[in-house]
Amino acid sequence: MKHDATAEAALVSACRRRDDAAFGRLIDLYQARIYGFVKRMVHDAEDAQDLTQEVFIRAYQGLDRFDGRSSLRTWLFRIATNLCIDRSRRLNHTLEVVSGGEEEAWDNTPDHRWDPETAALSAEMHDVVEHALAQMSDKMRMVLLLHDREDMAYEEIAATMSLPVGTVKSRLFLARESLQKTLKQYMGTQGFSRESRLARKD
Amino acid sequence: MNQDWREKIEQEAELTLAEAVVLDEEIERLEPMRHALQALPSDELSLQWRSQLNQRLAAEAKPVAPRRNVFALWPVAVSGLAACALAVALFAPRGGSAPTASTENSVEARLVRSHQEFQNARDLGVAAPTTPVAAPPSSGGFDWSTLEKGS
Repeated sequence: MKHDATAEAALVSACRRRDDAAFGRLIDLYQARIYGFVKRMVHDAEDAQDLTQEVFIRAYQGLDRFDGRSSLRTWLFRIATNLCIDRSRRLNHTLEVVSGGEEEAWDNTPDHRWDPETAALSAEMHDVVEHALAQMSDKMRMVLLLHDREDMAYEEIAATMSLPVGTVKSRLFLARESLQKTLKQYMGTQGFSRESRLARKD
Repeated sequence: MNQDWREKIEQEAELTLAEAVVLDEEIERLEPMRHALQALPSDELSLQWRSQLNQRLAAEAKPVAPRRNVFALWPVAVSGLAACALAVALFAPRGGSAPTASTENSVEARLVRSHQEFQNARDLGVAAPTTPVAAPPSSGGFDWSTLEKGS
């Protein structure tokens, strides 16, 4: 998303005046991205929807405290990041590798038998990527999503997560390497191909 | 990329300049992974979700209004207090003594003085305020002798 600083400042200013229409535009701009990020962090669509609502509620409550030093996007993702971490702590599991067997995960993937071949392959590739993301530690996944999915700069991610830039780079490298490993496995062995999946289901 | 470098990356340790350059190169080499993530379909939320959010936001907005009204009343309250203080300063009696006639020759002062003198005189019985009225002649009845009889 291209950021127009002037338009963003005007939007924030209108939101601070409790202009409901302006806050509605803010939600329109960011709801899908925040939801996509949160969903991949919590692995539960319903929880992700609740948390995404909570992000905007917190933003509404805290608009007066938003000083504009960071971008609106950074601020919103920081709220989302903190909520994901809080939820993880509440559920008493660390921000580490998600549990759950590989077989179970693949059995839950959507069945694309009725799709054209290309769409099926594309959807299957998406499943592979999603699965690779789910297998990563939360720390790595968070950086990877913010950088490669949300196009955030290192400095922006560092501000969002309160980390040094060097740490952000280290985590990005490890995350990309992990994703590449999974994709290579998929491409090389065809272990997750449509045919083999169908055969396994039969 | 040696083992020492990798350990530092995994432990998120601080890198030397040369090691940081290698890290940048490695991240660049893995750039195609970005495309894999960007190709993921976007996540849409339902209208019902948005409706719920709007309701929650409306509920959040409600408590703000009364608080604002309370603060809006502060200038009115302060003005009222100032007006009261001014009125007290202007109209309140000074010294706290009972009201008295302003001058000795005023009508009120003379009335009071006259009343007090009358009271004193009556108490002492020295001077009747009015001359006693003479007793009327004995009323033995009508003197018919004086009545002129007809010749």
